[in-house]
Amino acid sequence: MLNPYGDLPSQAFWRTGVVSTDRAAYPGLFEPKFPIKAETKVATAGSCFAQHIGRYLRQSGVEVLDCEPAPSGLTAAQAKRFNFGIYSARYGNIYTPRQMVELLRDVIDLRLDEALVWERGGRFYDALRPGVEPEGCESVAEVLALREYHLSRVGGMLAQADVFVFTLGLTEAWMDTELSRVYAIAPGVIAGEYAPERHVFHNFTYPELLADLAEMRALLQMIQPDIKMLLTVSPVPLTATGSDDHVLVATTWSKSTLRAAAGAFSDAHGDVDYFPSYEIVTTWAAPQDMFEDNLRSVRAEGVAQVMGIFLGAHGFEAGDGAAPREAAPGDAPLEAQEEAAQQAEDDLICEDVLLEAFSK
Amino acid sequence: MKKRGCIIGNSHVAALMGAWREEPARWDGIDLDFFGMPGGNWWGCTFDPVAIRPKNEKARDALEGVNGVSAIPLQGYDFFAVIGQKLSVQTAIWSYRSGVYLGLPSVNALGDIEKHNRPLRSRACFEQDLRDRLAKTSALHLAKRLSDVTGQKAWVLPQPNLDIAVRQDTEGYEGFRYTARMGDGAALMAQFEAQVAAICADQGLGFVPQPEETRTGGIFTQSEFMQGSQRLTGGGAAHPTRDRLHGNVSYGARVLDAFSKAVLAEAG
Repeated sequence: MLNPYGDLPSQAFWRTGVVSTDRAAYPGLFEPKFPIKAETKVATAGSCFAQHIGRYLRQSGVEVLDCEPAPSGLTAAQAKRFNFGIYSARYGNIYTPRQMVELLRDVIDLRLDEALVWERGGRFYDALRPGVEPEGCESVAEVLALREYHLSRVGGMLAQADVFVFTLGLTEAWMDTELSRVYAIAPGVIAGEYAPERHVFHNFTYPELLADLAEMRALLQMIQPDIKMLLTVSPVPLTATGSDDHVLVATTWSKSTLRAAAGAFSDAHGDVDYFPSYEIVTTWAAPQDMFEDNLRSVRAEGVAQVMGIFLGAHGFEAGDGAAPREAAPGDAPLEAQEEAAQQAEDDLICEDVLLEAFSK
Repeated sequence: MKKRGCIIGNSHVAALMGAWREEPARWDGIDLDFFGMPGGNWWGCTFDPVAIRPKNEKARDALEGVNGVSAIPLQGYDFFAVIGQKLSVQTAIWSYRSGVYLGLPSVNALGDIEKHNRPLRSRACFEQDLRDRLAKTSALHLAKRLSDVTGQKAWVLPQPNLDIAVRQDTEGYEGFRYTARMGDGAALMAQFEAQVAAICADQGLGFVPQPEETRTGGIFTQSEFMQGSQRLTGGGAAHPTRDRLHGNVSYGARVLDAFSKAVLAEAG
């Protein structure tokens, strides 16, 4: 008898697609809409998990753009502390599509606003990327000059990008109702002052995310008409929620909404792809422990698996510059496991981890 | 009782040795020994509480050839100093090449950046870059090793700024000429000295900057303190007249003036 499942490939069935397949490689899981080759100019931005993508692509020989490279004298640790080499520009983490949209508007208009400078202890911070200058700036003028320089460099970088990789991280954000801006991190965490009547919590909904993704695409294409987008969703849970929900519920709500929006947006556009890193890490069918003991940081082996699948789909040799770190034995000493968890956390720059300090 | 010190370094030690030979009585509160080698050879030596000893043939040849000793005894000294060994405002010029910051005389607005065609950094980032570079200089490494193995205070003395005559040259040291043309020399000099002082304070070392009266034009040395400088090697022969790097005996005397004053002030 004819039925619609009869001709489907093995990956369409749970047993053959998941249970009995090679779950380290997941054949058929990801078929790119467009190729990424060594000569493809890739720009990266987004939530902290996107840092892995940029790093692995670079190690595989892909031209990952960096329009604000580190001064050559800085040690690697200091360069990282000053947010050099984390993404294609020093924009810090961009957790929500709305943040990205607002950045792109600023890039196009070269928009600066003195009101978006935060102060703490006599030092001044760019409210839209407060973590990139760990010691702050000397003056408001210095913050604004650096922001203007940053915007001009981001514009130049995007104008030459072939693919824009964006990792969606959060739906939750803090909005400044006076300035109509979204912040990467709530005022008062790194700098600035939280004012309840002005700084309001917002949890972006599915329609809002879709609208922001559409505007992001339109703005990117204003800068580079042929640019393609590659979306991923960060599998890293929320450090804290500003909603009234339990953080587990809030995380599921947030990630589910991001995942749905990314998928729908990718389905609607031939120049937008979605890579299921989120699924590979968070599925209960994962062949290994994907998270460190803090149940938040993705283990190095998990990242290697995710990126191995991504790079393999794009024709790069497995382990070609992106060889996974040797798996730590399960019976490793506790200190070593703690160190590994700390290292995984340390490898990424995630401002939202700072929220942990406010945990009771 | 005189304080006894040992000064080591690269070719820049020659100016101090020459000054000391000419009029040791000028610094009657201190007694000094000098040891010099082409700079890289110090990395070929071991440092222990008793002596600095060469650990390879090249270092042995350099130590014996220049100083006539097979090891440098470290006992009996009240203080140590390292001169030269890449401790120079040149390091700030490398940082400057890597990026400029708002507050430099040449950078007062974003439009000024285009004059440089150099990245704009925060001042804090520039200073960190400079500190990271300075921390790698052998002067600071050697001084720290001396201090660690002997338990005595160690000082660092920079090599002199280039002879101001370099401004008329057409080859070499373009970074210095560029810095001067942009009007940023004094600011970079201040940055260099502030960051060296900060590192030294952190590591328990002493720092004696280039004497003020020998300076000119922000990052240069007056020619009268440079012309006629002598080589460390080759029996003290004079450097070529176009040498812009080395101080002369008169310069060495001014450095020893400042250094002895600092040492004696420290000793109380």
